[in-house]
Amino acid sequence: MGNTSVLRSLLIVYMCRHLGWDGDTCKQDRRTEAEALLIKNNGVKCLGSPACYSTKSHDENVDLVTYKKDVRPEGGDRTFDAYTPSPFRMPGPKRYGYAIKYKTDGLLPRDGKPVRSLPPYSPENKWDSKHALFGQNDYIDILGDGDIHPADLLTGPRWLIAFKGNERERLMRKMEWEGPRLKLMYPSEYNRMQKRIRYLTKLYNHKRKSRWAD
Amino acid sequence: MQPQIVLTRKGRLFQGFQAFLSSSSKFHHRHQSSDSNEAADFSTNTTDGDEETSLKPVITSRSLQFPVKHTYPRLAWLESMDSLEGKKLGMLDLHPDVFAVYPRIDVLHQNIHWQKMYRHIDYNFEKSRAELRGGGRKPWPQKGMGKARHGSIRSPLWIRGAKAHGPRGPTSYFYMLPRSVRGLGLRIALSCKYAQNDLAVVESLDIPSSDPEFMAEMADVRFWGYSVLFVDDTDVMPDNIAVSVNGNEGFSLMPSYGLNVYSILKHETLVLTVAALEKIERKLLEEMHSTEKEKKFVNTLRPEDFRTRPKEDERMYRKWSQPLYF
Repeated sequence: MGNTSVLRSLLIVYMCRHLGWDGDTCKQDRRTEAEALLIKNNGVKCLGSPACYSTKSHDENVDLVTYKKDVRPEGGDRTFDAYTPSPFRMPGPKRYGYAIKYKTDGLLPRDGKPVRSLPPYSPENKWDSKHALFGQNDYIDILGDGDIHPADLLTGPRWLIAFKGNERERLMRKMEWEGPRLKLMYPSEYNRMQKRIRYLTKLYNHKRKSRWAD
Repeated sequence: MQPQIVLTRKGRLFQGFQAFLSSSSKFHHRHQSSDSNEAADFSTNTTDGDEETSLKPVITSRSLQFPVKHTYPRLAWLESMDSLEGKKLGMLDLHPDVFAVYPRIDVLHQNIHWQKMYRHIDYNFEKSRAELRGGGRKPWPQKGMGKARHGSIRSPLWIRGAKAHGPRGPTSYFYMLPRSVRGLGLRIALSCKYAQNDLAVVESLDIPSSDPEFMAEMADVRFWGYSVLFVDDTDVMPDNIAVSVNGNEGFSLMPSYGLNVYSILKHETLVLTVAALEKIERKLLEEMHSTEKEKKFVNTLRPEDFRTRPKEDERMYRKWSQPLYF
């Protein structure tokens, strides 16, 4: 080892102590074995490769280069917090720039509220007794003894069974069947039906031209 | 006149029944009617005890009502339900006006649409702008605001406003298809089933076991489809078939008066008993040949028809403290 190599080794030691070199992870091609041993023995980190970056800021020596930090700060208020501060920047608030206010990564916060989603799809069973025997007894007046008509077997609101009509006719029929009961027990509904019949009468007879417009 | 069906089982039954020439059939070139009272050629009296080897055909004669000359009666095997494969007990004539009708798909569609819609009641209801709560006041003056002009907050233009022409109350879609069209639909459905080899005529629905798997295997062996519709004469069914059908998905059991186009088309195979076949054919032919003018269906229901408790006398009688003397 000559003078240059001694100087070099001293420089390496200085760099290791103050700037943090790690002999194991350093990938300098020109380094000799002795230099590597020095770095290793000193046990300091090496800043030469990206693997050696750390968030420890060395306050005594200000970096002239900005490095990207390993761990991005979680707050995310300012986009530039992911980088080490540059000495060329003026401190203080700025009147430009964009601060991202939404989450860009990580799990979504639920705050104890359940996740709202559509109910799971459950297809109808087309072979349960209701579906498999659909339409039974529809031809009972032909295939039976002739005393029953399929309209006798219908179920539903009593005033609507085996009846088809437009809205006004249906309301009038409902009024015939349910009117007295509704007037006593559900006066709002009775009033609504009365007003609707009156309105539809005027609409169908004075305003509508087509017979089938409902 | 009663159509005759004579079922005789003497020893081992003849598997391949052969119909033979009858002198009356001039048009029947492709096959012959099973009117076989002349089965003397085949039958041999088994006076000896060797019944295993002697083959006796089962004589089934079926005379048809309203016979037709322009076409020939169709034939169908009569099967038994006592074993998995079953035995062929004979051959039956089927009336061509019921089982050989031209397959009119539009009539089938009409029937199915009627079956679906005549009982359908739509309960959807949307309030109109007059029925929604609020919306009586003009939200802001007509002019001067720089806003669009509006009269009510419940108009169809507004959020949470009314629907202008929405569904209105329970709506019914009832209508009646003419009787002749419905009868024709049934006949076409039966014809389609026969033509596509999906019709099976069976002696009766008495099966040996009530295990649903037995029934499933039987249907499998006989190449009956995934879904089978069993139709009997009456609505009182044997226990075994009821339990088996209940245990199998896709199998349905019906009396003959419950038969309908929708069910015939929904189930792949149709299995009729002989009694059911008789009844259905008779009813459909009667409907086809009836000369009565069809009465239009008129709804004569009244609220009194639904009264459950007896009508009480609610007249207010005056109570007198003393008897009246005049």
